[in-house]
Amino acid sequence: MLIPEIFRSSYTGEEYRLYHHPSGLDIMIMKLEGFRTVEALFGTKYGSVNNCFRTLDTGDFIRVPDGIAHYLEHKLFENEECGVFELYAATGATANAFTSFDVTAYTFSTSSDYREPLRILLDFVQKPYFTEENVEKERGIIAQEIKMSEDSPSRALFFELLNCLYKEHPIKIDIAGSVESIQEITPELLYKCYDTFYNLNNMALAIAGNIDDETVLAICDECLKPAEDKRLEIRFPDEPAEVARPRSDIKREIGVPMFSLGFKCPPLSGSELQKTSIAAEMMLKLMFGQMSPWHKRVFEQGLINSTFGTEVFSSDVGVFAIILTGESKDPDAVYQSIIEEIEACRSRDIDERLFNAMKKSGYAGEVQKYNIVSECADSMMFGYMLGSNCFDTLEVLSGLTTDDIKRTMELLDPQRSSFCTVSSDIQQNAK
Amino acid sequence: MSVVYKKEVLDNGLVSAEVYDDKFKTFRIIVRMIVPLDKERVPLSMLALDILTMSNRKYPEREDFVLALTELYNGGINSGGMILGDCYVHSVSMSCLCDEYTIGKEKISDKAADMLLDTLFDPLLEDGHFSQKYFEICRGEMLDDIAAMINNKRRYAALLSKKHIYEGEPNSISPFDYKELIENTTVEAVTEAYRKLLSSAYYIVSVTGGSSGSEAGSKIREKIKALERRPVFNGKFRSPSPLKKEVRFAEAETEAKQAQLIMAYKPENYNEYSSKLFATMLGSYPMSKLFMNVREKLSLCYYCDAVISDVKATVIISSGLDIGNLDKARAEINKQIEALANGDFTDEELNAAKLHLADAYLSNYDSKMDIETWYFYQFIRGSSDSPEDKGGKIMALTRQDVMDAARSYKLDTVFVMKPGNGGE
Repeated sequence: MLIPEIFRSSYTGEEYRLYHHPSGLDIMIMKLEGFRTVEALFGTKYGSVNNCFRTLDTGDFIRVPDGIAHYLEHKLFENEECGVFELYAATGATANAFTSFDVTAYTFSTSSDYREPLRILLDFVQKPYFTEENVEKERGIIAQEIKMSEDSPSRALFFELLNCLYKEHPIKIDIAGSVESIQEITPELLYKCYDTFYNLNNMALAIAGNIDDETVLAICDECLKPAEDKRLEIRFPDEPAEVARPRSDIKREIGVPMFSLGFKCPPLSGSELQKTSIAAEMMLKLMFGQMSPWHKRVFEQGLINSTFGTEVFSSDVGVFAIILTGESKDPDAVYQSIIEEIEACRSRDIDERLFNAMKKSGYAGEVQKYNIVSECADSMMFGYMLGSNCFDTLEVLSGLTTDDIKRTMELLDPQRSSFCTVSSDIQQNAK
Repeated sequence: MSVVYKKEVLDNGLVSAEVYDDKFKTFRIIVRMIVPLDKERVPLSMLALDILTMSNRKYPEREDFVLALTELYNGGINSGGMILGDCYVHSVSMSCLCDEYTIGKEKISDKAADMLLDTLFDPLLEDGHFSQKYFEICRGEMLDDIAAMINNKRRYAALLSKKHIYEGEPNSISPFDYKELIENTTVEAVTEAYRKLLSSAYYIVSVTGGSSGSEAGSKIREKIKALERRPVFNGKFRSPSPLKKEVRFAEAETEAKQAQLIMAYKPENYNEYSSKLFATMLGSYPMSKLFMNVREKLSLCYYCDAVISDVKATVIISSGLDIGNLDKARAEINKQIEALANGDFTDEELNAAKLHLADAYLSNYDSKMDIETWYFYQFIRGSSDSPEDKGGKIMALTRQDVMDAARSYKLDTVFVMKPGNGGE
């Protein structure tokens, strides 16, 4: 009988258990009373940025084509006998998957019996089947997915900003790669990446909803094949503190010009990454959120509209950036006002009432998560991937002080920022 | 506690719906105001509701309004709307943490109800009209939204295609049609549209989630009951779109890499359940004919979906692909519809689609928004079917039902948005 680590929220009473399975896989289980659905994620610490690595098998470091993690995610849905969707379809469960910069995960959701869908999930992810023919077939589908993304101006803006902020880091490469880069992907390379990253020691299972631990663990015992630790090493290029380019303007057929301002911050990891991310998010809301004097001014001047938003873009793969983005008929005027506001805020005290309201809001946001089965499974998985548990956010949030917020303002260094815009050459006449 | 659903017709044009389930830690109140789809009036009412969610008489400045909501544990008030058949459904909703989950069990549900009431019925007025400042801001926002619709090519193509699919029907209205009206309107006209909306709408007040929203819901209903109202809507929600005598072919151009293909099919005879199962087997999930053939077998696209609009009885297929593959895709889509009409599908395919739908129906119970929307759609159909009831009806369908539905659907419109620059 495995003894779990138990995590419990002192605020909401929710709890989940983490089991270290002998196969090497870590399993997180959250039972949610009264819910009918079950959501599961089987994930690996492998995303688009992991393009240079070595293991005992590869010997030297190897560099793989851009977009291969995403390609691999597509290809796992085909096994030797049939397509994986066919197997799920017989159960009524809905299956999906995603690849991010640093995680790939396979999911299912069901309101019926979850045992067979769980077996299918554990089985197909451990059973790759790549042939010349089926890899070739996927190229057209993924090329269309890439072209669909290329037609999105907001995605173009996002990756243009990352290319301006980062000189070397693979974070600047589109997760799906390019139509050209995916031409280099072969079954052999897919197997190499699979064997490296789809090792149970590098993976986790998160499952939430109408479940019980005994059943989940029994299915895991039945389906998981113990994995040998291959001593994975990942290499990232040295990234300078300076940005690659401070400014870029691109053209697309769009209705209202878009802008994105990014601040490149020193990379962090572990609990420092988590605390700084949460504090920086609150700092951004205090300085630039709907209740801030800055927002009132530029919103009422018509310089920004409701699409304006802020984001802390961070990961423990050496990336930490603060992003402000939106639409404006005069992006340069918005840029100027943001830079002036940063300067002005350094000598201004933080509004205590606003700060306390933000904490309440953050608390409510966390409590609301446990209304939604999929968010519970996601939170366990993403917390795990960052080396924390999913209730840590609430703990960190409740302990934040105005001094913590003040410190994160130092991250907004205009000397380490990039500003990108997208505008149209074409006079827009709505049809 | 199990799910409690209660529906009650309270008054002329006022319906109450409540779905309580205490597994939820939040509750949501949504006030729907339904009016005929009048293209001169509806856009002004939409703008009016946007203005309402900026401030009110008690909190005349937007940042104070937002701060008050944030102090109510991130309570949110939002306006929205949708075309439903030949009517328009305006909505203002509020979500709030249940009292028992606030720090120190602070009672906030009554304050949240007051906030929603003030937002709807006690706006900030200057000389009897909405604030000029928020009128200008919201009008600018709406015009920006319309201009930005070109950014999302799939959505843009869908909007343009509606003009052809539903030609001559109220449902063909798109935001591009009322851009000029919004540009030229005045604060007086928008205030008048708001007053008219309050007095003429058919109201549905729904409360869903944890039961601490119950008292808040009562407060809202009582206030609406006391309004002087003359509902003009006749309650006819469904308006099946007639099949054209000849297939309409239309196209547009945009700067893009991909072409957008949209094909609309309309039935000679419509049956809610068999049409739904037909659309699912055709293109609504990863085991569907279109997914398995247009995408997986021919590798023509990333998506090729079929979606059914129950109120319009229309199946719409959409796909993004290289312009050179359009004919190939169209031929394959037609081939797959024929396959369903001829019974060229396995029992496994039939059962999988049924299970998929029945499972998806049950999942509505785990989202307070989804279960509320579920019962709203039952209401407009004149039914109170639970997800289990509806799943049972789907499971009872036969192979012949799917074949009959597939045979009944005829091609009505083909719309193509071609890449004008840089496409492949």
